[in-house]
Amino acid sequence: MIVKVAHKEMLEMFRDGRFRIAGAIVLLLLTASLLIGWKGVRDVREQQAVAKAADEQQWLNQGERNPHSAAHFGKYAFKPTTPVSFLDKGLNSYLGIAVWLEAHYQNPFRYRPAEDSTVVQRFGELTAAVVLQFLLPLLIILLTFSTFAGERESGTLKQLLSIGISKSTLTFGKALGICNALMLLLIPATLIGVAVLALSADGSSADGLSSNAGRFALMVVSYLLYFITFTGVSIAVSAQAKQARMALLILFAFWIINGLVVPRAVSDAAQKIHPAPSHTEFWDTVRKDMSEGIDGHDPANIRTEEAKKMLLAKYKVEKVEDLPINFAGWSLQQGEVYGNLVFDKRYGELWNTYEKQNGAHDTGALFAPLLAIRSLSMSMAGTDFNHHRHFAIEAENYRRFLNKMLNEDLMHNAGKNTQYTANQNLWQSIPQFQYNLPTTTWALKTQKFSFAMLILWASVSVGFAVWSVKKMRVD
Amino acid sequence: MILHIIKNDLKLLIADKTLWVIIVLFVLLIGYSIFNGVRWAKERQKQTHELTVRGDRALKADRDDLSAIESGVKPMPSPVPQAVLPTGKSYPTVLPPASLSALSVGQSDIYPYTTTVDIYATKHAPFNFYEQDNPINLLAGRFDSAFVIVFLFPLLILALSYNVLSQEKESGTLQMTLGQSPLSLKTFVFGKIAARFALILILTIGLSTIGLLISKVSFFASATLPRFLLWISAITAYALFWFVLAVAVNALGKSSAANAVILAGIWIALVVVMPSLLNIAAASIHPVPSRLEFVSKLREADNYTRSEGQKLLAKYYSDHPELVPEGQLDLNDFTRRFYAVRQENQRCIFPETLRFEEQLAAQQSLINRYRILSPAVVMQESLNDIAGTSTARQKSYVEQIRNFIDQWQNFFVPLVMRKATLKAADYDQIPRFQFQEETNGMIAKRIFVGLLLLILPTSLLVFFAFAKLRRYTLVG
Repeated sequence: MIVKVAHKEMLEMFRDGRFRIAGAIVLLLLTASLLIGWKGVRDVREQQAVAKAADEQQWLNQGERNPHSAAHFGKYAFKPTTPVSFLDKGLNSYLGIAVWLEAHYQNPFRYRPAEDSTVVQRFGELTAAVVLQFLLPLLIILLTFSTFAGERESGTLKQLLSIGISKSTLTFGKALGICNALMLLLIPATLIGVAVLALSADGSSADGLSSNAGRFALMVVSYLLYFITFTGVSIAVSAQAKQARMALLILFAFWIINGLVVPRAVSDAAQKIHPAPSHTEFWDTVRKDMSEGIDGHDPANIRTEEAKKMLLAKYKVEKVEDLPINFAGWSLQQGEVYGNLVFDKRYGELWNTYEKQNGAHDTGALFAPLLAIRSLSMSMAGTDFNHHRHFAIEAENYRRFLNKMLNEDLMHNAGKNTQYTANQNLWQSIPQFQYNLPTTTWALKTQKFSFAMLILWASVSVGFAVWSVKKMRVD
Repeated sequence: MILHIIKNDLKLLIADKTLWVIIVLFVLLIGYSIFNGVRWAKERQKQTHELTVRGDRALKADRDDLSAIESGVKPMPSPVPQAVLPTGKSYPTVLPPASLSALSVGQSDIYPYTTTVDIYATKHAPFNFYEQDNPINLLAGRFDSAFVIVFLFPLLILALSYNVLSQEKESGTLQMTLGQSPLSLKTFVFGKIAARFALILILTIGLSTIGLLISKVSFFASATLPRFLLWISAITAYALFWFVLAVAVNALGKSSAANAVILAGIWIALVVVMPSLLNIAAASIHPVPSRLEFVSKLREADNYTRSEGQKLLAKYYSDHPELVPEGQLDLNDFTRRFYAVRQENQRCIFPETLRFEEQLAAQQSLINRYRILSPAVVMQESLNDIAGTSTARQKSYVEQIRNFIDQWQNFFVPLVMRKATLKAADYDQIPRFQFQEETNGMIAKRIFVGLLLLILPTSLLVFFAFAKLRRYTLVG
């Protein structure tokens, strides 16, 4: 019986031109966004490989230089493009693409693509994630809003129930019909997704279909939960609304609140509750910490003087000139070590503030399931803040390692020579920066709350649908 | 007669419960958005003001120090104090928020708005630090007044007018009203729409004005009032478009439910889908160069200038023999060598930076040409212009910083290169940066183009609606 109801539901949808057009448009946008996403990932990866190789060559061929001069030249770390990001660009447009690993400073990431875009960028980019999070729910609403309300208005609901179909059979049958219609869109889209993922493999072990299957599968599951939520809510509202028109208005309002109002409202609230410092304030604090000490009672000159005393004591000498190591190299490394403490503290605070703000966005999922799916989707795509922070920390650790290597060379090999230079042997001896994307399990752990919220939304909305149909008026 | 319809319709509207729900909702949305915008603008005002004060204070302290020494109140300390040296001087170049910036955050949360200019400043990278803001907030966008106007305001209009005719037809009142009276359908529709139009505009403009007044925005500052009038006209034109659209769809003679679906579809197409498509079109027709390639070029230039520092400084002095200081020329002198290095970097990289700006300008002009396809884009750009958070104002800011770099270097570089010292009187000649606002006329010109782009599709819709209304059947 359920199958028959589902079949009838689908048939009606296909007969209605509006749904055919809406479905075709969504499928078209979805396919286009997948292809654009795929092209974007491919282009950036090619450029990245070139830039990375160029950076390495420039480093190796910088000629003879004082190691500290080389440290100021530094290297660049380029943020890798994750394979699944063709589905969801996440925060990529609002995060820098590369960071300069320089002496003394933990630099912020540079070149946010949004700065190289026009104002229309802010209306939202066309990505598969946007289509799935934003437009597909609207299609679900269009498919569903009249499912009960329409039958009630035309009087067919009474007839259906009078021939002995139970309300639950009817509900599940209708739900199944809607799901089937959606699957006609989603299955081809998923297949395109899998194909793109397989195609975009660059041959390395961390790439391609097999190693990203987990992330991709979790993404599919999350989106299904999100669609179930919308189907459930739509059926429930359709069962309760007096007329189809009312059902449509209520569902459309829910769609607006979910997709437009709550995300922005939360964004402003998050910044009010957990204010982040401006860049001027941030760098003022960093400079102050460096000169006056993190606690404000440890000025740089006294700090260096005390460290110098300990160094002299260690080598049992009276004067700096008698040290067996190069004092400048040692001082530079001392500076790095203290700078690292400052950066750990201040970037740590800043990023924790961002994470608190992100937590506020996640909590917003109580009012808008979009916030839960957005967070999960970005995380699986590797384009969220957690992944960015993971990369930023690894890049910073490499910067510290690089500077230590260079300062130690100065310390042990420069002697008293103020014009000391090192050559390619040193540049070559420093291993390249390697970065591995965190595991799927790691990503999933950061998303426990959002995942729970999505499951909650899906189950509550299914429960709501069942309850609404049970309580629904027949005429 | 028409006043009669307006009055009657307003009475009916006011008696309707849903109107009150919508109004309360709208009051909350506008209130929250103005509150957010004002908070944002005040924070910006505070930050930019503090930086300028700090810059002025530093120069004044040096000047006071120097005049005390010159007048003999204070002995010349040894080593010579910073105040005497032209090196190490800098000045903040800030972009203060415009008077109505609370109305639209626009692009101001993405672009940098402060930087410090010293002799090492370069035109290809005028900003020393990159603005940091939680990226998720940038992605989500702000809940500012512009968001309420561009996205939600049309929905409110459509909610009040999607069934302006269809409902009367469905309930049979349309025939009752028009069947036996000399009243034309056109006048009837016009009256009903005028009532809603007046209500919505009074609500939006009134609430926003109250919000701005409460947050002490001064309406009497020279630029504020004309801009506020532009804001009112832009909102009026935008509202008119959506009302006329609702009438045109009603004139098709379909059911209320069908009207709702069609109007929602058009809203999504114009407000959500079209801007994305414009973005894709602009970015693929005029793609900006690759920033990754740019980094490689930057590195190459950096590597070369670092190695050639001495040669670059020697070249500088041979090009400017009048600036060669007395005594032995020290090509290892960090300050002077670094200046020569930075200049050479600028010479190599500035053209690359300009390529990005040219492509962006090409994208922008493409969008300007086709933005008539999306009234939402027209409206957002107009609101950003009025609020002073547009790309154009940012561009002007960058331009002014570049000019200021020239001014600053023209003043200081000869002094630094000659190893000259400063006198207290020199401090009065030091250039200071103050952002020059675009004139109201320039902004008005852009807004008028925007208004035209709203009025044009509106007039087409009016013709369409009139044609359809002529053949409208009063009974379903």
